[in-house]
Amino acid sequence: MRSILLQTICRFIIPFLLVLSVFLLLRGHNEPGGGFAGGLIAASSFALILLAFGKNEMKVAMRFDPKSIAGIGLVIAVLSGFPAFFIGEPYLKAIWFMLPTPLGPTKVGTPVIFDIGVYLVVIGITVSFLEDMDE
Amino acid sequence: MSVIFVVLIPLLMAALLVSLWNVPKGRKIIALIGSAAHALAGVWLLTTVIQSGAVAKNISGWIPPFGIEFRADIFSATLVALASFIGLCVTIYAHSNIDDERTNFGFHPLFFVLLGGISGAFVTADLFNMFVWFECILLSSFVLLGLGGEKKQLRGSLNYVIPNLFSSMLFLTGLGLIYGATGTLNMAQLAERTAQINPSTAALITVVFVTAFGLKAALFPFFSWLPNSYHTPPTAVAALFAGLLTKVGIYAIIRFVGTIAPTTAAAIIPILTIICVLTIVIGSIGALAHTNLRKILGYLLIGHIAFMLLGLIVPTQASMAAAYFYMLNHILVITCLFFFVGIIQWHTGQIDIRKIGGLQAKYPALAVGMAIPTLSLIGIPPFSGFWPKIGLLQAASETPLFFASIIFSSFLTLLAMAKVWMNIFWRAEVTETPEMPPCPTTKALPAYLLAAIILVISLFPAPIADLTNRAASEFAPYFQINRGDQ
Amino acid sequence: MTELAVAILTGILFTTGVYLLLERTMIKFLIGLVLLGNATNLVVFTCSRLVRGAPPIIPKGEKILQPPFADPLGQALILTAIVISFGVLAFTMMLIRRTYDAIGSDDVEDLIEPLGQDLTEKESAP
Repeated sequence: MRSILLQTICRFIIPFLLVLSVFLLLRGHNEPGGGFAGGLIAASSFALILLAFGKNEMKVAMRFDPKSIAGIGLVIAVLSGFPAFFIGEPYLKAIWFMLPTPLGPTKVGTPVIFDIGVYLVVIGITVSFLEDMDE
Repeated sequence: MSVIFVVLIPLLMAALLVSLWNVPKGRKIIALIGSAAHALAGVWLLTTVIQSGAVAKNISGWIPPFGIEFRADIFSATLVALASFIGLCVTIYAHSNIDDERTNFGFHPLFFVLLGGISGAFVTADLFNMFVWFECILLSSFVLLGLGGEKKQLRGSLNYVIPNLFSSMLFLTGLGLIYGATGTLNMAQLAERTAQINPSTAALITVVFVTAFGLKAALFPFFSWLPNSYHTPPTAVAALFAGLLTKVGIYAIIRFVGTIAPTTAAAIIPILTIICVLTIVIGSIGALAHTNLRKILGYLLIGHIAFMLLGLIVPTQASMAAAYFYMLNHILVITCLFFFVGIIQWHTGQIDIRKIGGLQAKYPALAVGMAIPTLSLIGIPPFSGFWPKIGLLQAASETPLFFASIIFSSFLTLLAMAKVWMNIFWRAEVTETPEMPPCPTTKALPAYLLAAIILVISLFPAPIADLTNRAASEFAPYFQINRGDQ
Repeated sequence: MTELAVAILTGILFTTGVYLLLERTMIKFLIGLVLLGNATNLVVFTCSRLVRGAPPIIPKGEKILQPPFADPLGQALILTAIVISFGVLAFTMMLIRRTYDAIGSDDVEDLIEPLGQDLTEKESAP
């Protein structure tokens, strides 16, 4: 018995939640936020889909298998240490460079890539946990 | 760089295999390639360390104590190389041993996390980082043990989970205490600072740590979980655990008492002697009491673990070299024995030695193959178990209790293995064994390969003895502090 | 003075944790594990010196941390330990659930292997 109130609210809230999670992810290095918080908020949006629409809709929304997403996130996180290797610094040393974007030069670095990996891992693990708990 | 690769490759492989969770096709091949790459990295590390001395790297450029340092000296590097090689052998064995159900539930990623944790625990130079790798090992071993979900696996799993969880809690408590007392967690800095803190605080911290690691290494009185849980998982998993996990605990004790807190050794050596002697005696007696092949091996494993701590109890370079040689030899021998027991189980379908018989006539190659690690375990010349045992006996001549326990254990191991041999090989066939297809190559290859390596080491022990001598010389400060006292 | 109070609290947590760890039902064992984890986290917390109201943030205009400040390394250790114990707890919970499904009872005594049963029950894969 799916609540129609929840479904209507979800249609509005879930895009905002996902944008918020990406915002927290990118903001994480110098201000409160980061991969964990962003990942949990994104996972909570998927939890909302689960509660409002059901497990199949959540699987469709998720596109890929959550465990694969977690694995890919882990690979990205581990590989983010490698750019330092090519320069001759120890593994995982933070390399920052200025990226010319339409909004002006932005400081991007390997910790952001690591955070993206953590973000994907958290989403993958939490959603797979939710999937199994729904049995 | 190799010091980082040796930890990175298994973790990367695990991540890769998790992201390919729903693609069952290439999994075993990828796992094989990954294990081979890891073994190569281990050998690369070992050759680098032998040629140019200890290798140290600060992860991400932060200097200790805020940063984590990876440091590989000969002591660690040999163990890492051996662990990666054993991992390769287990991957080959697991090809035919681990069924599809377990593979679909993530056997291979967990296996690689386990290997990564073991390699990390060997090369790290930061005590908290060692805790993290220990937890990696712990969690992956929990799941590997319980994979399969039958009642037997669950029982073994609970038997394994409870003491090991308690040991992590103790480890963490000790970490808190040592951090509070010295203000750092880097091993080199700890070595300097533990000499300056209050000796009774240092002794307390050492006791907490030795208890935590002793639980992992299956020393008396914390060893009963080992025989109760190592006979439940499939052979590949049991061989991996038996060969590597307890040695990580022993390595941690040696690292802690030998490198981090050598000044506290005088307080702990008497207790350690008694613990080791009791472990040896009880383990050897336990091997006689059972007829389940896996349980016999489990008790023998316990009975031989405590030899490796002689290097700490008698603080001389010769004794540490002999104990280290014994550790390397024991890893090879016990893994090989577990593989052979698996092959016997494949041929006969039984694990009770009272029900197996007549294998000498049917499979003479198996008898020859299994004889090599067995004689090595007992310590009969010229097999590879004899050389370190002579060194151990020479070193233990100052501690008559330990000396007596070594001889006692050798006799009891001989008795236990003779009983096994008489029942399995020399007796006529007892039960109707179903006709099994010949042993698959992936099972036979690692077993005979390890037996061949043991044979080579038996006939040419000199290079290994040199290596272990060099490894033992790295503990010179420990010998200086504790020998001078006596 | 606060250290004494926290030390006594840690002692109580350790005591109850170990007592529950030895209990007969598996759920109580799980709760004992939680308490034990909390006790060890408190030990690490106390050992990195209790400081009141001084977060380890560099003030504006300065270059390094001004003492007194709360020790960030100790807090990082505790965070790692909490995350690890959370993972371990989740696994143990599932293990207990699975064991309950397999043997139908919550009692640890029902799990004990009678003498010689390891020889008669189905062996694990060769």
